[in-house]
Amino acid sequence: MDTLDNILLYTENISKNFQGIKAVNNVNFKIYKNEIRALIGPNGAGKTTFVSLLCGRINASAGKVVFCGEDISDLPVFERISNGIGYTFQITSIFVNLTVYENVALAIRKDNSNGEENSVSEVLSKVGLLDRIEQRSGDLSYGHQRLLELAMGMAQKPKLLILDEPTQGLSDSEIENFKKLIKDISSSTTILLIEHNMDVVMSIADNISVLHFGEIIADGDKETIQNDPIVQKAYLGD
Amino acid sequence: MRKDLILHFGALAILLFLELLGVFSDYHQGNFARILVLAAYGIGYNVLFGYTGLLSLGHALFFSAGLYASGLSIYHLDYNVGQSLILAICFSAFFSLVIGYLALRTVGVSFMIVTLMFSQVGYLCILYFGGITRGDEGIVIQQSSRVFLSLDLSDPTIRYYAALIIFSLCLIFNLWIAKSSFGRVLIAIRENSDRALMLGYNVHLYKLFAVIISGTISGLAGACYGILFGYVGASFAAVPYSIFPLLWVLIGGVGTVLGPLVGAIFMFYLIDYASDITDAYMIIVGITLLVVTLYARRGLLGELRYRYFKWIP
Repeated sequence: MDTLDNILLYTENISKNFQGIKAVNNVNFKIYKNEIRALIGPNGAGKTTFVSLLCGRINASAGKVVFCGEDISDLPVFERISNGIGYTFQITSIFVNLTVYENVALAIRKDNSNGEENSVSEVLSKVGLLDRIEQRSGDLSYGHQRLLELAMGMAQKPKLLILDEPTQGLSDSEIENFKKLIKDISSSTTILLIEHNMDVVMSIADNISVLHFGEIIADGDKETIQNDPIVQKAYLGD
Repeated sequence: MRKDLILHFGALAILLFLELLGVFSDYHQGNFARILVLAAYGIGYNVLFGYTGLLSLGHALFFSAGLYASGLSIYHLDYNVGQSLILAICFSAFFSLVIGYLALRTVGVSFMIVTLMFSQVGYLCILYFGGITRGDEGIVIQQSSRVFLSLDLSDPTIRYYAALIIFSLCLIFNLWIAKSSFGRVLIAIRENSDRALMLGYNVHLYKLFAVIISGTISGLAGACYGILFGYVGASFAAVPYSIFPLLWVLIGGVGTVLGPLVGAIFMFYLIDYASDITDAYMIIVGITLLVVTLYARRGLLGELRYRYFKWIP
């Protein structure tokens, strides 16, 4: 159902030019509440630029972003995050000199209240890092750092969680764990997932959008995308 | 009782008992009074550099803003010590707000250069308006003006206690910041400001608050220095007074509450003893600083924290 109530976020003709290069070109995009939406496309398609426009890391050259019925195009990044957009980085970006606890506590973004410890423990137990709570996060293995990055996204309790290639560089068993976790998070949060690993996309995404040279060339459920001849040829293999 | 509180209040108690038990000679009593006020200045600097990760090369501007606000108001307007201190605090806070607002439009090396330039403008203004400031020559604040609550602040013992009180207030405030959620965000900005922003923190506003707090503490220290030691001069606005707090913090421990005190004591006595040995004392100072930076890259207290005592704030 394509009603406004159902839409969590949409863009209208959003564009971003980098010195004449159209990184994102007139994109009209919708994401519905409680879905897992995968955003795929080859390297350089503009995926990270596009989600950066959604969360405000990059200012759009034109167009608008509407989140929960409110035009957020002119809001600075921290206000968009406060309004309920969470973002996890493609290249792990944690506070390496702080402990695992402090990383998650910062993401919760509340005062040192009594509930903080419980909330941190709850999130860390979900991702399986509770036993490393006092460890310096820079000393964690790469896989654990990716988990911490995800935990920080979860701790924000966002309405929309943008995951930028969360499984990049992980082993198969770690990827399986991630898939379960993302499914688990999706029960309470809408997820926009940028992902190269088609196995991950096909097993957890509800719908898929395909970005190519800064434009959405296909949009729909997995079957539609799988059967789309252009997409099939270009991204999924024959 | 918590270990961090024992450490910091213990340090303050030692400084108090050294005086109460008469351990200090007159010479060292004077030195330590000076060190305590300068360490308070170092604490102000550390809030910005050590906790927020913003390296200013122009903090002499804030130190001298407080110094001149209190000094000139006493000299020209016959303010008493209390009034001049209030004026100095308000002026430093406002001044830090304006300078912070402008300087924070830059980051990294540009921020260092911009703060240095602002500081030089301040220094040159003091010289230019020599009719008011008496330029290089400076102003001597008469003993009769250095009285607070009937206490003669020029008396060495009272001066030591006054310096200790000022230092203690700044230290406790710094300790509170380090332990507060506000301080935690400052540290997050120092560690990874992009991530802090993407967690929903208004990084720019936090940095501005850090500049205001840092500048105000520095200004308060400057005002107290002028009042306690009776001299207000342009040399306090010059480049060396921007570099000193950086050295104290680097030597003592970046982002540690007691670091500026440790660094200030170390530097003060290093110069003091080295100049007893030779006129070319800066050679000894330079070599010692090189050794310290090679073997204790995080500063003396910072290295102890890194290796053994992770709880030190």
